[in-house]
Amino acid sequence: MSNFYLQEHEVLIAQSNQILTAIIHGMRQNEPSNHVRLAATTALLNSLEFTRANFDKESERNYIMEVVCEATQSSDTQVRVAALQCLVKIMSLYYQYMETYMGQALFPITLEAMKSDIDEVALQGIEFWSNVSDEEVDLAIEDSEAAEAGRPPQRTSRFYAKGALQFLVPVLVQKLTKQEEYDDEDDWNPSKAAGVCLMLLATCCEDNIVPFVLPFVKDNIKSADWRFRDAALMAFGSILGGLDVGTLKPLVEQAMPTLIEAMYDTSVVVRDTAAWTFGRVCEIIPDAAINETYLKPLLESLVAGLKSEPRVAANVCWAFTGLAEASYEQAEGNEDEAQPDTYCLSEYFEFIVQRLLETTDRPDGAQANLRSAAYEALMEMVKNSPRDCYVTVQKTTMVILERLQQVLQMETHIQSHSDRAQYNDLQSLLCATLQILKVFHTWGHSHPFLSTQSSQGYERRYFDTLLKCHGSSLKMLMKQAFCCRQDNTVHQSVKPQILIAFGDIALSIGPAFKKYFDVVLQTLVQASQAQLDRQGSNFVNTDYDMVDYLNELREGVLEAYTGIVQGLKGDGTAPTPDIQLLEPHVTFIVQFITFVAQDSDHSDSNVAASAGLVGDLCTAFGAKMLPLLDVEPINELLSQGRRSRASKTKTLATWATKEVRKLKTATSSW
Amino acid sequence: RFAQYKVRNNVPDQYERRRRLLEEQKQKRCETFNASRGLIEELNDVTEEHDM
Repeated sequence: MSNFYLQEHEVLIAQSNQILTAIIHGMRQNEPSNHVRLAATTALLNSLEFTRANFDKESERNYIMEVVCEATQSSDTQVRVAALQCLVKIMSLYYQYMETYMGQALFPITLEAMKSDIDEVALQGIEFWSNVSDEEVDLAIEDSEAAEAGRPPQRTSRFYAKGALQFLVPVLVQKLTKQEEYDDEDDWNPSKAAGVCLMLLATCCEDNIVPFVLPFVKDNIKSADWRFRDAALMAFGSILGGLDVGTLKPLVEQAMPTLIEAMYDTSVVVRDTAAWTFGRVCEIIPDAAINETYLKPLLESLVAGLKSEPRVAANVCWAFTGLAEASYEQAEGNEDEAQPDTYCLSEYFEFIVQRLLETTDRPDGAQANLRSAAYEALMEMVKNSPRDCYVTVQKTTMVILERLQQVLQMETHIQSHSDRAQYNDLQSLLCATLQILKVFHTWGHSHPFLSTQSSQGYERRYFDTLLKCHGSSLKMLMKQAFCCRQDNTVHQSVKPQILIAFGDIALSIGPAFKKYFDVVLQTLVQASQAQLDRQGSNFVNTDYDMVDYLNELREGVLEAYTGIVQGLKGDGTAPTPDIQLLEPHVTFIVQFITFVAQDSDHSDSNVAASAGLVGDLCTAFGAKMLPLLDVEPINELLSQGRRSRASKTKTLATWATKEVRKLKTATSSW
Repeated sequence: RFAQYKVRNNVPDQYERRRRLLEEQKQKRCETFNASRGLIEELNDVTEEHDM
């Protein structure tokens, strides 16, 4: 297929002169048929990649540009649009040749197109300048890379965007005011394109854009017409990403009261843009929002926004995501990646989490991706929470787990697309739960709450629920793992994580895991054996995705065993008696490691996880492991690990080898 | 361009979000396992050498 494409490509280049002559002939002003002119212009659009040799020659380039520019003035809209599309593409492909044409032709043609009342025409005019901005950002990157390497850049920017700002911005902000009141999310129009173009121009021209945009923002942010209020907010939010912090911070601080006010606007469009702008602020310059003056009113406005229309609420969720992250980063005591004791959101934490949970439960949560956005925000709140929010995190975990159980029970009743969509939210829930588990685990070693009697009871209930959920879902998830690989609605990477989660639980609750030991071990045995299916007739060796997936699944099994060994063994120097529970399974575990070792397709991560488990088995069971572990396939695996390029694999394999040697030495000294 | 409208920079697509999350979890799990093995310092040294 690719050979065919290459051959075709070569033929096109060789024949490009004749093809181009015919195309240009059809595009000329004196071509009487607009159908022919449109077909020819479209043909040129599709041929531009093959005409580099023609663009390299000044006379041919001049002629092509003349014909294309003429076509942009056609009275036929379709021809005009196609010709403008050609200019957009030419700008990207042949930027270095455009200087001659920019001032005289390209700039006036595209500016006029931008102003057009015909949407298709205006969109191409705007797209031209979005493209110029993209191109000049790339050139700026190339320039700085060349400067770092001490060589001259291959291509240089002509800073067309910067030069044209004063003419472009007034047209773009006018286009911003032409919003659709009842906007269809999937529609593309000049107002939306203008927002994107402003954002790209700001990235390209940085602070230079401020004097052209700011007057419009100031003049219209309080306009009686919602379209102008929204356009002003949109212009403000769009340029934030390009500005220097020194310019940006006072600008946003000054705008905060107005932005907060906009969250209560009568227009849903304005509230949507205000919420989006806060999302941008929280991401780009969170310091301007997280301060004593504005934090409380901001949070109040955001919480109110969660009850607004789905599109507004979804943007609010995004703002919470950014706020949580930024607040955590700002917290004192976070310097060494330790859990801070408190942070600026602590006193509002429970309230915000409650409102987010309510948002996930909204009947219109399927609209504007709201439910996912709310879970995402919840996850970020939990992930970025300090110690004094621990109790709320515990409560939230219980709620999520209960919901998980409810959603799992829906699986057998899935009939409609909507049911399936709801069911797919399960994945978000699982990820959120897994994330929370990690927080529990991080705290498990150090948090005083975990050592109290009452919290142990709470914790037990928490894991009871978790196990109940996973116990009932496991068969289904494993079935999906092996039988429903083609089902794109379930992401494969979730499945090994389910196995790993059992290891995490074992590691977190230690002896309390005994209650769940049998059911989990049985599951791991099933998962290990299922991998043998790849030896069957259905497996094709060239199915690399399948190989990768099986390696991931094996890693999941190995890590689950590791969590169980480490959890039952305990933290002390001598293993706890609970480890004996695992002894009847050790032979199978070693067989599994051997199976992994003998598979030539195993990954480096498999080697690392196997080596870690070998070492853990040595420390947990001592000399009795020697006959099982001191065998050729495992020695070969450890030897491969010691030669690995990955330092982690190397370290683990070296450590495991030493642990096996220690057993040998101890045995021989008897 | 459509995907750039009212873009949410720190929220990449679902696949990318999941990949990052799993990677982060894997890293933390690895640290926990190796802490119990007494390998954390050794691995930190290796990482520092690698970074240099």
